[in-house]
Amino acid sequence: MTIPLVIVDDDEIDRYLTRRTVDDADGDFKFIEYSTGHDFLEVFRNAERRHEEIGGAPPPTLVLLDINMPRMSGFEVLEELAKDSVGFEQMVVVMFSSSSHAQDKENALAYDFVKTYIVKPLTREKLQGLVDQFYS
Amino acid sequence: MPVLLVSSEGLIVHANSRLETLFEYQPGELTGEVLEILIPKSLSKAHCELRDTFFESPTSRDMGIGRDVYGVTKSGEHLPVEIGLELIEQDGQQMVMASVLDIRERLYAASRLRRAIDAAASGMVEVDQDGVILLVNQEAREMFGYGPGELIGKPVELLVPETSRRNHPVDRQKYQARAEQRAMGRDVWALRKDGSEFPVEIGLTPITGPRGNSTLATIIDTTERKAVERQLRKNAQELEMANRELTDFAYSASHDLKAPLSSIAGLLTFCSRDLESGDLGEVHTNVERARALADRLSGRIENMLALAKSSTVPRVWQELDVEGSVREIWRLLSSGESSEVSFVTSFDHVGVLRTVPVLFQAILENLLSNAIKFKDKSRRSRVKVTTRSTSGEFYLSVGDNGIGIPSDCHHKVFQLFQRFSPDIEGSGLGLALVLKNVVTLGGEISFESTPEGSLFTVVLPQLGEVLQEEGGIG
Repeated sequence: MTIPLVIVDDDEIDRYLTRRTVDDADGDFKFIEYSTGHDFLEVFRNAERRHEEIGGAPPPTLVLLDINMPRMSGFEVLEELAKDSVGFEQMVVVMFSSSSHAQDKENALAYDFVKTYIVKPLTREKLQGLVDQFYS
Repeated sequence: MPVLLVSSEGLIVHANSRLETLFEYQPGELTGEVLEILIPKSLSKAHCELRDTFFESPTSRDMGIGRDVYGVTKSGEHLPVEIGLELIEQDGQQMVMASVLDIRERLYAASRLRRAIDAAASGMVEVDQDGVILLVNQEAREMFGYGPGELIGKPVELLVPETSRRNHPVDRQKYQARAEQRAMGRDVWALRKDGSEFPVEIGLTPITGPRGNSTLATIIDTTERKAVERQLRKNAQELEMANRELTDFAYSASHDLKAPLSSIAGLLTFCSRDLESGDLGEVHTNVERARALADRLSGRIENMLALAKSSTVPRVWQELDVEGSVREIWRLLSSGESSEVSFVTSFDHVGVLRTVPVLFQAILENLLSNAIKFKDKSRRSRVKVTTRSTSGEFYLSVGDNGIGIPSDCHHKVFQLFQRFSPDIEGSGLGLALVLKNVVTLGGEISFESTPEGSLFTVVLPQLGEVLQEEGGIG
């Protein structure tokens, strides 16, 4: 089973570090990266492009969503996703941030389609934990 | 009770022994004397006429209501008295029986009470049911700036500011209908003789007396207390703001400082792994990345320190050379620029700017640095600084032809840690610092921004702090 893993993060280095971790991990992932929430939403909302770039479910897409991004923050992306209110079964949204701030975590988990909140960086252990929890 | 019988001609027919004792005469000594020997000399002529008038249309009544009435003793001492007049007929002759009440004790008690009322720390004003002032104590007189006796008999509305004067009689009547002890409404102002107004707190007490109902108002001038309250509120706001900033800082420490550090650690981990596998190209790239991150981190720390320091900068207000400051800051900022930027200035303000130079220069530096940084690479950069002044206000505008701020982000331009351009490095603190300094200087900031460029305008008091009153608790 190949799991599509999308990272939405403006920081090129964070995307690089995540990709390296995913490459090293056990398991089969398809790694897709977007540098803005806008780019991600555009693809996600367009069935054709979505199928082409990310692939069809199952398995659901694992979305690692950064919070602190210029222009459209991770929270604003969540707000947009909430407006759509469809397609949640096709993705596992995970907030992915360097902030260990309780308020950020609380705000993120207030959306019922946000499955969990992990603090950067992504490690092999954290990735394995996500797979065990949502893909077994 | 001392009693005197007087004929219509004004002769004393009889004086009882208590009257004789009171006026220090021997028994029988007063009989046959003219009444006026018992009356102060200054009044005796007027009294004769009044006596004649009385006998023309005689009615039994008290004498001299509302005036102080005195009798004169044999030794010439003036006695405060109250006199009741009653018409009687004896042997076909009309006579007046005058009962004389010695009120020295009562006056003494009243003056003691008066002294106590005057010594009270609050102003007291008693008003009858028609709103006429009956009593004013010394504190109230001084508070309102009137002389002794000036207010007695005047309408109480004299002490009420114009804005609330119209409703005051209605409110007064409403109060009298219920007549309960209570405080007068919130935010009450009073009017001095000189026309100035001051904040007061007023307690109302209904008084029921034999001569009708009245109201006693107890008045406290709250000017000072209000000033203290204002100062306290201001302090609390400042504390709250400082607190919020601290919270933001803690937030930023976890967010903006920890993140690059942990990325550097991550990069180094991959570096050592790549070294083992001999992928030197990747090592090289990642070392460069780590270095860029370290630079970014140190820039952020510097910005945060600047923001923190701006609260503690001593507020030294000075005249500032605006042109010199603009040119100097521009020289420092533009020296590292690879492409040339056209810089236009137009200094049209009149007179000097008095401000806190450190804060003003930080505003300039951030606005100019943004104007340079967010340039549109497809066209030659232009930055324009203009100044002007009108009615005590100093305007500084910094305009550019850069990429502008996306319109959906305009509402959060001045918030902490906001960045709008993915491609341009920044801490998201610059405009937050600008706003903070502008507010500290007592000014305002506004902006317009389109994809064709941005224009920031700062308005400051031209002579900052000179006209500002200091708190007030002095």
